[in-house]
Amino acid sequence: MLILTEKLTKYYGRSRGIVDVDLQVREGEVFGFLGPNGAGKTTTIRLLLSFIRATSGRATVFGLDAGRDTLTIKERVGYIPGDVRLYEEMTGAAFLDYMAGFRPARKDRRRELAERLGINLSVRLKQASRGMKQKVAIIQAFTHDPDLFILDEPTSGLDPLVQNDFYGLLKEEQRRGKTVFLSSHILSEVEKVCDRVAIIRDGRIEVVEDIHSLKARRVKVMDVTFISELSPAALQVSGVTAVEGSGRHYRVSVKGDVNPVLQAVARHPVENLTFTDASLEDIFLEFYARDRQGGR
Amino acid sequence: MSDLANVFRRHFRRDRNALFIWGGLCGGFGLLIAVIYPSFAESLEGMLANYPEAFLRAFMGGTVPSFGTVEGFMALEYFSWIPVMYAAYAALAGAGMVAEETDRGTVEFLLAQPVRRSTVIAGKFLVFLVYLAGIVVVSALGLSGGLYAAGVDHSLRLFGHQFVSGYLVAMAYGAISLLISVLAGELRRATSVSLGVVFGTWFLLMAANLSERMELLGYLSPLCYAGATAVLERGSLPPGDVAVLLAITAVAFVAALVLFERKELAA
Repeated sequence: MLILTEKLTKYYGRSRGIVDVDLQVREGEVFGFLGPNGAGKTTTIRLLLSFIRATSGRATVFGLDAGRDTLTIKERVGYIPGDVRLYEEMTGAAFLDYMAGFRPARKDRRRELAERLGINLSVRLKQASRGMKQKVAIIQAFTHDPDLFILDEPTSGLDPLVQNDFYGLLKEEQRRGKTVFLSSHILSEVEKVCDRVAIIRDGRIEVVEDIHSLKARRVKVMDVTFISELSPAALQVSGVTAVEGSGRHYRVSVKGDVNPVLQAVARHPVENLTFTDASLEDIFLEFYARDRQGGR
Repeated sequence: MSDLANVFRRHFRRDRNALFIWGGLCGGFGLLIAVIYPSFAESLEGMLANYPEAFLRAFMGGTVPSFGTVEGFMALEYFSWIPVMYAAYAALAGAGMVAEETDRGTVEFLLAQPVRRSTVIAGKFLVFLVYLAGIVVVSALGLSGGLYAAGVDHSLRLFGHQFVSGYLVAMAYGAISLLISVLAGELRRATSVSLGVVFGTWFLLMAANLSERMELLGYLSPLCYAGATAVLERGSLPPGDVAVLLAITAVAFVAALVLFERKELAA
């Protein structure tokens, strides 16, 4: 295991950070760490990087103790913090030079990434937009060819096109055998790039699951407006978990395969139809419902 | 390049304004005092007699030996102030060493690199010591240059000891401020507490000089050691005082290292 945590717990005084977090991240996978703000994602990452000390439990990275061997670990880690704050008086290039002074970085790789992300590194960071600073942070994490990327909400501040470039970058690194630990509160982001995902809520891991299983089980919401009125019974087909509305407007929740409901809808003239992803909260509710059914 | 050199190089480049600002301030002060000295030279003993005794006790710890000489005059008018100016610079520099990075959030990037926390502190403290030395040199050039320009002979050796005394005092305050910087976490708090320590201990020393009952408290102030009068009387730096200042620096610096190594970085 590249990252292993066992009953990792952190309290800030009496406040809960994380409780009994067990994680196993395998070499070469892109592992998503999904949860709402304040769930404990950043606390877990800070423990892995030894910015803070665990109240109890243990964490290892590359088989090394996250606290005791932190310098050896950091040699091989590329990190992007959740709140990117750089030395404002420096240019992007000067900042990267400073960071490269601690860990040799490839200049050609820096140039390549700067071109790819479309950033001018000679701009003073004080004048840089949030997105530009995020790009500098990305370059900083990638230029020394780390074996493990620990990324805390890395796409915040990036426009959608650059986000896609970044996802591509992650996939390239994975193909080169690198491992990614990606924290996010955006479900669709995790779905795009991750192989497995752990969902954390209120400091506890709710589930660790293969991304395909998560996708298969996740609820999608369809809003449909028909040209003429329709009985809700016409939409009660396989995979549909709930039908709300009446007359011409319906909201249909679908789990798994959407084809049966699409076929049912297609039998009637449609004015408008949209699919939206279930929110993270819906996913949690689904897990809670499952837990309750399981007698937990 | 080693990590220490990397930290040193960055902060040496970043903090160079300190040399211009504080060097200019202290050097300019020395130049001013040196240039006006000849107009006082002939009536120095009489001038001393006009100083209230309490003033002399508060700022010099008593009467000023050989006030009639340029060395005695400078002890009262220049070297009683200059360590406080150096100490104020030391407080500002020391307070920023850790608190600025934690306050601005840049510490997270820095410590995500494979660099020891103690190396970061050592590199920054080294830059402070170098610039402090630069400020002292500029001060000495201002004072001695001014005196030479005014045609006044003076003891370079004695002035050298006075400047080294100021350097050692400021070094101690720099280490204390570094410790405060680690403990405070916020730059504004670290800066105000550090300046408070400098001026608080200065006032404490003045109070101790004025009141016999408070005499012992004066020893709590780093400004008490290797003071201008003591150097003037002895003709050189008192070794015991130097040892005390070095000990304060070492204890505060090591405490800052140990605490920073253990410090949890706030999110």
